[in-house]
Formats: sequence, C-alpha cells, structure tokens
Amino acid sequence: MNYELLKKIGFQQLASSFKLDASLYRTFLYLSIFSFFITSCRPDKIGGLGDIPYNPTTYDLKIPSQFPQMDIPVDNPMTTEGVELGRFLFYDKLLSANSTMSCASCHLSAMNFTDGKTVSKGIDNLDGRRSSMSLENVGFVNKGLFWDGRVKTLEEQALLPVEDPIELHNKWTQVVEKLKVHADYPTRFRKAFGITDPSQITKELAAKAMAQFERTLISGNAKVDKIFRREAEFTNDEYSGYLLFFNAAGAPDAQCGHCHTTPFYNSNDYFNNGLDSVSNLMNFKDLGRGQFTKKELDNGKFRVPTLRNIELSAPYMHDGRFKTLEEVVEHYASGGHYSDNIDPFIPQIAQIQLSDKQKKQIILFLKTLTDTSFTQNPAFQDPFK
Amino acid sequence: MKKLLLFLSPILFLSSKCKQDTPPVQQGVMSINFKPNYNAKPFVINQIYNIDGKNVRFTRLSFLMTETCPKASSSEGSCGTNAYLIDLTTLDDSTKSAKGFTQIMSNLTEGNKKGLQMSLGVAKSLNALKPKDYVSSNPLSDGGFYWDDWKSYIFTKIEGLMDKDRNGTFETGITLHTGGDDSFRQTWFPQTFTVDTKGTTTLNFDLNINTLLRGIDLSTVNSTHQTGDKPTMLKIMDNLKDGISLK
Repeated sequence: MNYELLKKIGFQQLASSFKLDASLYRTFLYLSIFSFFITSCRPDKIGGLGDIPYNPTTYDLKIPSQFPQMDIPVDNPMTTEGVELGRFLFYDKLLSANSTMSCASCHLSAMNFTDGKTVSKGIDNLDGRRSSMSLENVGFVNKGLFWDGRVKTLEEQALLPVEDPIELHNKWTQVVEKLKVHADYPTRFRKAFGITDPSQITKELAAKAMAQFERTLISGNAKVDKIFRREAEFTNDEYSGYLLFFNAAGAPDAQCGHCHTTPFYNSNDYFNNGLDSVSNLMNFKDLGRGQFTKKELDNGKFRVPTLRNIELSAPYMHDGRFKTLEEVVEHYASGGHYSDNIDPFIPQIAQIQLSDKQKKQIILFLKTLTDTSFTQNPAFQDPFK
Repeated sequence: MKKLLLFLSPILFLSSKCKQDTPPVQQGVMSINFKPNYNAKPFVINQIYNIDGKNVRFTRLSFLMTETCPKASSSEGSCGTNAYLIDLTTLDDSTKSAKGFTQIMSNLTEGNKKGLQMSLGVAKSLNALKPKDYVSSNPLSDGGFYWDDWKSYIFTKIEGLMDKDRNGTFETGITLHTGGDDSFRQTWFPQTFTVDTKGTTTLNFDLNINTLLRGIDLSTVNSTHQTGDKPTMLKIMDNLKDGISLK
C-alpha cells in the first residue's frame, strides 16, 4: 500500500495534519485492521468486568447443632457466589486435559461423593493408587486431607488432581486460559472474587471457589441424628449394634467407637487397622501416612474415614479391597493382620468373639448413618444437567 | 485556663477510673517440659520394655491437662479454660525423649510466682461440655478424646502392644484409658519463678513410667473401658500424679 492509495481511502487529511510519512501510515493501518479483528472476535463479556456488580452475599452455612463450628480460612470467606462458582468448577470437565472428566467423576453425589470403584481411574484410564475418599463433611477435617493427610487445607487439595497424571492430567495454565476466554466464568469470578479483568483469574481463585463448595457438603440428618433429636427410634437390633459399636451400657467392646468417634464417626488421626501382615514396616505395598511423614512407624497408616453414609460408599478401605460392610466387619472381628504398628484396639476386637448376630447388629447400626437428604440435596448436584 | 482545667478534671478522673476497672492484659508466657523415664533411662515410644516378664511396646502416651497455671499463691483463683494435650507419643527415639515434650503456656498473668498448679484430666466444668463446644485450636475439640458413654473426656491414653509369651509377636493390645470426674487429679508444685512476656521460664518435670504402671498387671488388665475398670482408672490417675516430679 502506498501513499497515493492511502490518500484515496481517506488518510490524506490525517497525513497532512500529523505530517507523518508513508511507512508510518502503513503501520498504523495494519494495526487498525488487526485491532478490529481482535476486538470483534472476543465475546462481549470478555474484557473489563468492572461494569458487573460485585456484591457477594455471605453464604449461610447451616451447621447441625451436634457439629462443631467449621474452621473457615479468613482469606476465603464463603459467599453464595463463591460456592456456586465452586460447584460449576467441581462439575466442569474443562478441568481435564481432554475434557472428559471433572472432580465429580470420582466424587459422585449419589455415592456419598465416592465413585464406587476399587481405585479411581483418570482420563487416560490409568488406575489410581487409592479408592476415592468421600467428601462428606470434609470441611470439618482439620488434620490433613487425602488418605495420607499430605495437604492441610481444601484450598491446597483442590489444586492437586488437575495436574496429577493419573487423574485429570492437565496443566493449570491451560485450565486458567480456558477459564479466561470462557463465555461464563469471567463473570462468575467477578461476582465471587471481584476481579476486574479475566486476566486476573488464577488457579488459586479456582481452588478457593471449589473449597467453598466442598465446605457446604454437610451431612447431619441421618436416622441416627434423628434418634438423638428424639424424632426417631432405633430398632432393637440397631440399638444393640450401637451399644457394641460404642462399648456402651456394659455391652462388649467391638472397639469401633475408639476411632470412629461422634459426631462424624471418624478421627482426625491415622491408624494401621490391620489390613496387611508385614514382617517389616517398609514392606507395606502402600506406605500411606509414612510416605508423607517419612517416619517408619507411620507406614501402613491411613486417615480414619467417616462412617456417615458408609452404606453408600462401597467399596471400603484405602484400596477398596472390601466390597461389602459384611466383609469389613468380618475383617475387624478377626482381629486383623499383625504388623509391628497395628493399632492396639484391632487385636482386642478378636478377644470378644463377636457372634454372627452381633456382626449383623453392628451393620444395622451403621445403616442408621445413611443420610440420603445429603446425597440428593439439589444444591450439591451437577449444574450442567 | 482555670475553666479548662475545671472542665478536663472530671474527664481525666473518669478515664482513670475506667482503666482501673479493666482487667490486666494477660500476656505472660512460660513453658513446661516433661521427660518420661523408665528404669531411670529416657522412655521411648515403640521401644521394647520388659515389664513383669512380658515384652511391651508402648505406641501412645498422652494426657490432658486443664486448670494448670502458675500462681502467686496456692490459694489463688481459677486458671481459666486453657487446656493442654501432653502428647509424649512423639518421643519415639532416645534423643527426643531426652529432650522431652515441651508445652508452651500463654495468656498468663505476668509477675512473680510461688508455684504451679497442675491438674491432670479435665476439670468438672469443662468436662461437662463436648468437643463441639470448643474451638478447633483447643485440644478439647478433638472427638478422639471424648467418650460418649462416660460423658467425659478421655483424660489419659496409654496404648501399646504386648508380647505375652515373648515369641516376637506383640499379639495383645493395651488400651488403658481414663476419664470421668472422679479421675480428675490436682497437685501443686512449689517453686519461685517469674512469668514474663518473653517466656523465659521453663519448669522441667520428670514423669516416672515405673510409677505410672505401679500395681497394674498388664497381663490381666490390658484395657480400661468398662464400668468395672474404674478402680484401675483411678489407680492410673493416682500413679500419674505421683509419677510427675519437678526437677
């Protein structure tokens, strides 16, 4: 393009005014055309988000009266907008490298936020190392997350599966780029965190939103809760199972309640529950807690999972080795398998020689921990359906 | 000028009165250290001990303390609601055991003290509450230290494994837990020291494990959770009280 042509298409006056030479005109023209295409290709919502109101509403977290208060990080207060963004991200397959899986693929609400598999599989159909842990009441867990407790907070935890090669096998940089140019997410991030431009979307904000959503996953309305609120009653067998479980009212001590304490029927602690017999503590197939702490005495120890909704959470144990509650109770009733750091309560269980009837009673009690109002709560379901 | 002074005087008087009524800020800090020993040597978690002819490895040794604070006199008032978990389970080698377990105590009243009140277990008023009633930073928020059937915190946890026939397999679990208001024990350790904001004072205590296990036959009583186990629980708490000494 030359000076004469520029004059013809209307740049002559501009040229005269600014006394610019032809090469500068050319540059200016190219930049104008380029800018036009760039801006016309972007969705209307992308760009400055300042016009969208940022008025986050404090989330009304309803904690059952029998539960303690939840520790919520001061730098991640819960808002309705943050929780909703977290729910979208939790269910969005955009987080995986090939857009086939989301967090919810291994944490299905109907299965108490587990996946029903022995070990979870990622996008490349590779077996994960461990069974999917329930997210029920996960906001109350304060001494380490995952089976081995390797991270402290939900915000830290939410970052890991995306880049795990046997899970979502993606890069956060790619996820964040997709979120920035998405038709919907920049607005959601704006409403949740007050960002003024999509470029301010970060993996940390995404993790904060998912952590907010996970803190809402509260279950406290099982039959056992109704019983303690005097809204329901145990059957005789359920009650016998309860007494065995908690060594209450002089019943034989089935030892369950030492590690599965109320109100969550878990412990914020790590135990070797006698799953494997090893002659040397280094010989556990999965070192569990010890792999993180590097302490040999922690090898073979795992976090005590919640028993709430255990009926819906099969298979059981960190490696999903037991398909039924009957198998689980049978394992404990046998006193487990010996290793040097087996928890002292485990061999004691065998001493009382639980009868078949007592084992069934314990299982019937465990089923009073089922809370389908939690698994079916519309607020926890897939927003894309 | 006189008018101004006249105007300011009541304000100054009132403000000084207000200051007098405000309780002093408790910013004092001190530490207490526990060194467990068995047969006069550092006691190590998971080490094999021969006790009454049985090989025993302890896997957990911890106890709760409440109503524990330095005082200017033994008759001084309550220690407040602070609670501490003395968890000697972390002392799993001789070096750590020789250093002992140190608990920092903060929010104390500064000044010269005549001794330390130590209470083993959970005081009645605090024991009437449940883990859900405490903030998570408080050891009493840990459900693992509460036993519903007792309606009490578990004051002590002494756990381990025993090889009764000394064949190398520690087949028998030991789970000695104590609790209930009648298990609460209080003692007074006279000592002159100062509590300041820098935490310069540390009181060092020995815990004699021989005394803790005095009169308890582990081969016959390896678990205390039933109502009938109460005499053993009370004995353990008495032993714990007797087994702690100020260096």
